[in-house]
Amino acid sequence: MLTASLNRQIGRLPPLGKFLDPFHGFWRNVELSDRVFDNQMRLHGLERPVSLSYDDRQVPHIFAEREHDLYFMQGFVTAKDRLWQMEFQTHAAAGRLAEILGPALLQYDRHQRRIGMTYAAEKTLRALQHDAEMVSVLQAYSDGVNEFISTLAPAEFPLEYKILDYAPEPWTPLKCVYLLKYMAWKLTGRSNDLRMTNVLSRFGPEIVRRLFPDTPVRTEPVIPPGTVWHFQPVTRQRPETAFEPAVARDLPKFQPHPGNGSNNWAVSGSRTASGYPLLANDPHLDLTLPSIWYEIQLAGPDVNVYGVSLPGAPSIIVGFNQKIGWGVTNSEADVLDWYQETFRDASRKEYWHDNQWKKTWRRVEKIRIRGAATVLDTVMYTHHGPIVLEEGEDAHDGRTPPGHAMRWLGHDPGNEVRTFYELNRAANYEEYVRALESYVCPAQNFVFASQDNDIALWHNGRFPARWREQGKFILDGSDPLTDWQGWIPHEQNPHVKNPKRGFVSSANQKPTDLKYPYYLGAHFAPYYRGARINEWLRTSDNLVPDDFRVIQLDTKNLHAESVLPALLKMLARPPLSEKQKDIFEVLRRWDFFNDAEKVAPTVFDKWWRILYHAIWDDEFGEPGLTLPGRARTVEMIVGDPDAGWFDDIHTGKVETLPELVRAAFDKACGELRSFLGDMGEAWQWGKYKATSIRHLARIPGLGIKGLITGGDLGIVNATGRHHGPSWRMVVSLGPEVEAWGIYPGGQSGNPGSRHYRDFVDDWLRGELAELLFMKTKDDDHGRILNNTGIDPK
Amino acid sequence: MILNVLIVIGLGAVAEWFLPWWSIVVVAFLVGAWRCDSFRDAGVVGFTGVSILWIAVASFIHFSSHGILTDGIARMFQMPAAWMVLLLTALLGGAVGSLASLTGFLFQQLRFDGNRD
Repeated sequence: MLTASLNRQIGRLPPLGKFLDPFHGFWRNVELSDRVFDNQMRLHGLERPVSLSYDDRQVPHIFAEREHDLYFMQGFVTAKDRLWQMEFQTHAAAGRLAEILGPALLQYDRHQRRIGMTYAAEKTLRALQHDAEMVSVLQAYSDGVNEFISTLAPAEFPLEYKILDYAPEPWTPLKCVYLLKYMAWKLTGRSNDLRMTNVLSRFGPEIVRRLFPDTPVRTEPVIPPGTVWHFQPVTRQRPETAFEPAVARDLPKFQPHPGNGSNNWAVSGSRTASGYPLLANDPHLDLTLPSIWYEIQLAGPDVNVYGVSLPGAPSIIVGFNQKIGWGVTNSEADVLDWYQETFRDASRKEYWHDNQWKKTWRRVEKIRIRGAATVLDTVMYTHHGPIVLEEGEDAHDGRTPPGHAMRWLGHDPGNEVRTFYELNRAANYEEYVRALESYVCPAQNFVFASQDNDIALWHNGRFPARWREQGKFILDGSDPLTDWQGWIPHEQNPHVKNPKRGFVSSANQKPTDLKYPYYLGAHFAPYYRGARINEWLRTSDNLVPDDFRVIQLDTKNLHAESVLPALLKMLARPPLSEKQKDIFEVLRRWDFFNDAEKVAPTVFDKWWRILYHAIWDDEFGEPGLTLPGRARTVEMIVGDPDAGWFDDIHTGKVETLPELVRAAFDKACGELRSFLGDMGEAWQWGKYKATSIRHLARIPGLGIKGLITGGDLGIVNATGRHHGPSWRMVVSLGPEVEAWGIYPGGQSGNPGSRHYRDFVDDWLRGELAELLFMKTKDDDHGRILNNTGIDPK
Repeated sequence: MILNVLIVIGLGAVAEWFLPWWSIVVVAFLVGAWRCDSFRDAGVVGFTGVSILWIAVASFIHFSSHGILTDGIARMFQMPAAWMVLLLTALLGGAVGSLASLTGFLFQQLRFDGNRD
């Protein structure tokens, strides 16, 4: 009985007997040596011998004679270091976490099924069958993962399997697709349609236009302003009558942090010391352990490429080869809309569209739950997409209108696998553009630089050709003119090649100025990061790679610079207490850099948050609404300080902006003092912000807390509390390509390995590691610690 | 008794090397059944044997890895220090061992009584 109970997971504890046994339990996951594999090894499924070398940063370099063997080995080595993560992420995408974690995850799983993840992944995999080459790449990768799994005894399972007490299952190409859908949802699965609809019905179109402008107050578009577009846009027809959605009801609970941003840029040889282009990229994502990225070099018959991959998908996602370098930032164009459907009756078997009744269809989702009976959930679809939330159900994310159908680009099959496969092999601008054609979702700003001295940036993906503001609010599902009527042709996507200014850059901001004929969406990142990067690049010449590292670490807070002087002026009038005077002085002397050791960023951050909510919460703070943006608020503070919005409508008297500013300052000082004591070291920005890198499944003890760094969201060095630069890379093109990079984690996904988090300290200090790009399998520069010759078995 | 403890450690190490974790239960059970003369003897032999085996291997791993994983596991269990994980390993191993060897001893007594009737 005791043995049996120590063999089983009890509540949230791992099965203790199995887990603590030093021969089989967690102790077994401690890696006492750096040795990865023996010098010789045989594997089932290889066609020809392969050379596998691990360098001094534990990065694998694979040299294969056959393409099949290259992706087989990528699957094998990635699984060796990241098996649990690969499987967990695909389980998360597929809505299968309750199988591992029990009934608490049912709601999460149901949401994943309702947004059509299973539908999207299966549809995409079916479409991929037409591309035999990619099918064999995915199959080879999967076979490699499975070959690794087959070598594992339960005692050798990755740690998390032991903690959560389950076993890995076979890998399939479908799981690779799930991983890409997981990324697609992470990067495009948000919408403000419901909230904007509520704001519209409460305040009317005039206020929406003034407070929620489609074109931000200040812009710094990705594509240089003034660019002329020499093409005839496809036609879009707009409904003649405005639609008034029926929702406008109270729902939402929380607002996700707008933290998924990124920077990338490339500078042409005319502005660099070497005369060849330089390229930089740092995608900002959730900071987790194991890290989202895995570094690897892949060399095969027609390819030799280095960079970071996503564990679970073949090829390199961000990287370089001998001829080109490329990187990505998220597009933030709107590719998710909500449709109000008109059903014929309560059975909802038919809905009204284009003046006729059309049939809905249903998909039954089987959600298995650990320790409980399987739940069947029926998801209903119209031609728009799934009904994500049924009437009366609680919103999972607070942005989902009940009873509405969701149109999401992620449901459309794309061939992103091919895009990266071809980018890995591209040698020039034409091949880079061709690679981008098969890419659908999640749209990215693909920055590019080549040995031929070309630089370019494509805002790339598939975009619905919308009429203006289509999808900003909830749409009338019965009117065919609200459907996505077509696509922006690929060659008409915003792009720029070798601009006169000698550089290209992107930071998730609005892609173009108003000359671009298509409407892409209303919610892009504000100008701050883009403007700061462009300021650097405009004013620098003779750039060397280390300059790019310095720019990536830049902590200038343009938001503070734009508003703090005005706030301080308003604060100066009524008398301040002695302690407040000290705080005031610190702010007055601040140079607007959010450096870790400075106190001013902490005070400003607290003060701004309180003030922002004091201004807007009385009108827009109700659940279901959304607040005007930061930049729009600053514009009003600076340019229209007498605006009626500053009055608190809940009080009898009329408040003025200086009164709000003063009250917010008092409150900020008071709160900081009560949490941190009198102004001192504890107030320093790095300590106050305290970045953490959490374990992917939030298992306590396996993450890192309290990291002290500068920067913040909206700053080039976008390191927030849980978000930040997930991979910093600088590539120097030329006769010999050179590159540097780092990510906040380590190559191994095993917390018992020295390489679980060994990059973190350098990342924190803002250092980049020199990446070892091997031209041949013997080109080791003295940095290869472990070489294995692998033969087919 | 010391010999019996050594047998648990030796046989246990071999069994655990090749077999699943519960093989240690079988070893302690067998030693309790065939080699122990008293209830107390069986309990002490099972407890000491398995806890020494487990703490020895765990300590080797802990110290040669500078506690790379033990700290995290301690935090996961909400324990303030890594050595408590070592102690927990020893105590749990001891508990498993003594219960197994006691069961073995009682089983043997039962059979012996049964034979007499």
